[in-house]
Amino acid sequence: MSVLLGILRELWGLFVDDGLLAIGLILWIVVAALLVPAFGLTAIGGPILFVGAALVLVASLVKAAR
Amino acid sequence: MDWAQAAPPMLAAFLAALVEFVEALTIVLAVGMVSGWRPALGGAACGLALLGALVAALGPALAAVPIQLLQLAVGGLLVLFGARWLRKAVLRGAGRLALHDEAGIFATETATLRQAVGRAIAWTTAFKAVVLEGLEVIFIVIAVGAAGHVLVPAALGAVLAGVIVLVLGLLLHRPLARVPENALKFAVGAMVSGFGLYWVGEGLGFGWPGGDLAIPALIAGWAGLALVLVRVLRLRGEVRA
Repeated sequence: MSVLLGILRELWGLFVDDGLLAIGLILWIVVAALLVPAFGLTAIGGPILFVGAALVLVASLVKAAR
Repeated sequence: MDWAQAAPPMLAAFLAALVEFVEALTIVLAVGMVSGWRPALGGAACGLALLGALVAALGPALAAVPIQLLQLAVGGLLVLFGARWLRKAVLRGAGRLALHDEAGIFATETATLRQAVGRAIAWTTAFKAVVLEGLEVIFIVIAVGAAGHVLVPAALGAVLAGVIVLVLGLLLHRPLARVPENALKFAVGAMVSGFGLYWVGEGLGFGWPGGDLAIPALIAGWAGLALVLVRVLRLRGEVRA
């Protein structure tokens, strides 16, 4: 049982290390999914998605470096 | 399918699998040298069998998932996975986090195993290492391959990495401490984040200028950003010191 729990914990750790990074990225994807079509920006939605995700990574690293 | 389409997922899976297999090899070697090769190889073989069963059971189910949902789910997980690797590689590159040390991990594992009693612990250690690192490899192969229908080249990349690590492990009989782990993590983080974000965009129906060519552009974008961040964090560290 403890082996299984250990494996599950490690699996969670594959995707979530820094909470700010994980939550920030998920939130940004949700926000982009709602706002990009609402503002008629679907044609350039991809690059917008990248800019937001990049900013989330920067924020996470700035926090980690403090 | 042409090489231009197959090469990026194949390379991403190869590099990621190289990192994971080196980590698994370090643990299995430690178990083998301290507790004997029987529990080490037995645990590793059972781990591989479990991974094989998982792939056989869950693999065909992927075909039943609608492509847009698959792209969104797999892309989202890839972005989380890749950004986590990029973050760690940047912090290590900037000297804010200690580098991954295979020789150190090998020493810690052997010391722990020497104190532990019984073959069951040795077997479990090898089993767990193979299952965990193997699951990461399977995830990456599926993630970079399935959403773009390039599963075979991605799997081939991972198998090739496994064979190389296994052969080197058999020849050297010690951890592969000289593999540039952080540089690999940096490259894989950029590639996986690039693929992930592309699939998320596709899943949401967003446009990408240049179509599929956006993937290499995204990979370059993530890599460029990470290189700049390494520089900035290093400079900030020097200023404070």
